[in-house]
Amino acid sequence: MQHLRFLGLALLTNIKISVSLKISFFLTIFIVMLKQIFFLISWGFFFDRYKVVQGWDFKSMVFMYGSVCFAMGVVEGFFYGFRDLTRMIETGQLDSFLLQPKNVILNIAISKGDISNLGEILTGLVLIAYSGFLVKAFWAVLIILVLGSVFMFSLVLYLACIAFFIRDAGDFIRELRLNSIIMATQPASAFKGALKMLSFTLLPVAFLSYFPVEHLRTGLWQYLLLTIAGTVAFFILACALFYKGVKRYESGNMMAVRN
Amino acid sequence: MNKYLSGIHISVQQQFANRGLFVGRIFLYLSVVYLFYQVFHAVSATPERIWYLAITEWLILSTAPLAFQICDDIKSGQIAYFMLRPLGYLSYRFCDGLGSILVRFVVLEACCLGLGYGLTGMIPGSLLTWLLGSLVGFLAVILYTVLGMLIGLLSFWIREIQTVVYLNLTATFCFGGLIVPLEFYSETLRFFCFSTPYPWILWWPAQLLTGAKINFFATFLGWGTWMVILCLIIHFLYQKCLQAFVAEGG
Repeated sequence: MQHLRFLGLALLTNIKISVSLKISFFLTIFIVMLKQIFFLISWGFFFDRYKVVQGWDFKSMVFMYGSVCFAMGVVEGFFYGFRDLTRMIETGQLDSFLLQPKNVILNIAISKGDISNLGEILTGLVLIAYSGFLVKAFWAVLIILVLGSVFMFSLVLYLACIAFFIRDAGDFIRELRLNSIIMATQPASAFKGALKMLSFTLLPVAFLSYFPVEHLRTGLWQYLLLTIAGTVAFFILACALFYKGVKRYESGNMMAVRN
Repeated sequence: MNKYLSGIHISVQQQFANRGLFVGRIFLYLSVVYLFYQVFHAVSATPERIWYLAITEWLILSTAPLAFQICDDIKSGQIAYFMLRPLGYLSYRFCDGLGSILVRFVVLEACCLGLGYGLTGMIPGSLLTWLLGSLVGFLAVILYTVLGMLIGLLSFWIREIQTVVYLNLTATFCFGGLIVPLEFYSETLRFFCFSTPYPWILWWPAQLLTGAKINFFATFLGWGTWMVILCLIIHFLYQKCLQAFVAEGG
């Protein structure tokens, strides 16, 4: 209950900060929506030419893209603090969070928020509605959206934790994060061999894109169950990795002001 | 002139010193191309389509992130220190970017050739095509970098340029033809694409290198026109930026 109250207050503060500059706020939302549409135009022409990629048509692609957009919007909008986690670990500035009597992961996550990412959430919802799956399988879509957000939260935390184990890994983590998003927004049905294995294990984006779309496309419940199990397991793994990393963490003596 | 050459030299050395980013970029290139290869392979696309993608990715990832650098300089006030030095700020930043482009461009071209050959078993065009194509590719990356500088300067008026940078990136994907060549697009959209600078960043060099027939001089003229337009806008914005900066006392 105390955590929920803290979460609510922190989110409210972040919303107030983001909305303080109204023109910038709405302009950002508009631009974010526009950029997602640009990306889909290219894929539209790709599917216009090739029709189907291993059973996935353009609607499957639109749904997958929409769900990833929604998850990214939720995490970057409300849990933007993870963006700085790598830098905080590298510069030894995690102390201010470790000393507080609050859940460390949650505290870091909500320390920053950029509600202009509402554009991602809105685009995600529009794309999901356009894909037609929202009407066909409302409850499954709802579950997938919640799981997708939890997965994205875990992914960002999981990647940032690399900084505990490898020095000066900030740039590498940034590229890896970009790679994961690119990998998650491709027609995953085409992946084979090592790439498929990678998307199931080390960078398990299959639980974000492949399994949910397969469930909606085929109607087989085992895909949804795999999505649930995979997401929960990945969340636990990311949290465990964080706490294991904290044990290795060495604080610095650099004077810094938390912003 | 020597000070600008030094800027390029330092930037080249920094690229090798910052191994994490360098290795990460190569890893990103190889994995993205392989990823797209699997998608294209699944739809039985021709080897030229895979080469097209390998080339466009090579060009995109060769670009220096000057927009963020300029944005940081403006936001942190670092730009004021550059004004005191006997060198042009934008020229210095451009040379700084040029150094990193040189390293990335050459290394990623080698990766492109190796991976492209490994995946398709052929190399399109002749040696001459590749020499000319590499030059055109370099010009394309320069154009994209200049576009990035323009976005960086916008940070003087816009609080957060990250969204504009990503909009530019997706516009490049869409209007430059990153995934599929512009020939796949509808007539109207293709006309719109060619009204933007993006085809000269991706479509032009990729088409040339994959052996498609294009009017070299007409396209070169298009590239030159966009370079002039962008440089003029940058010059105008920078002067405005300086005026405001001096008026407000930094």
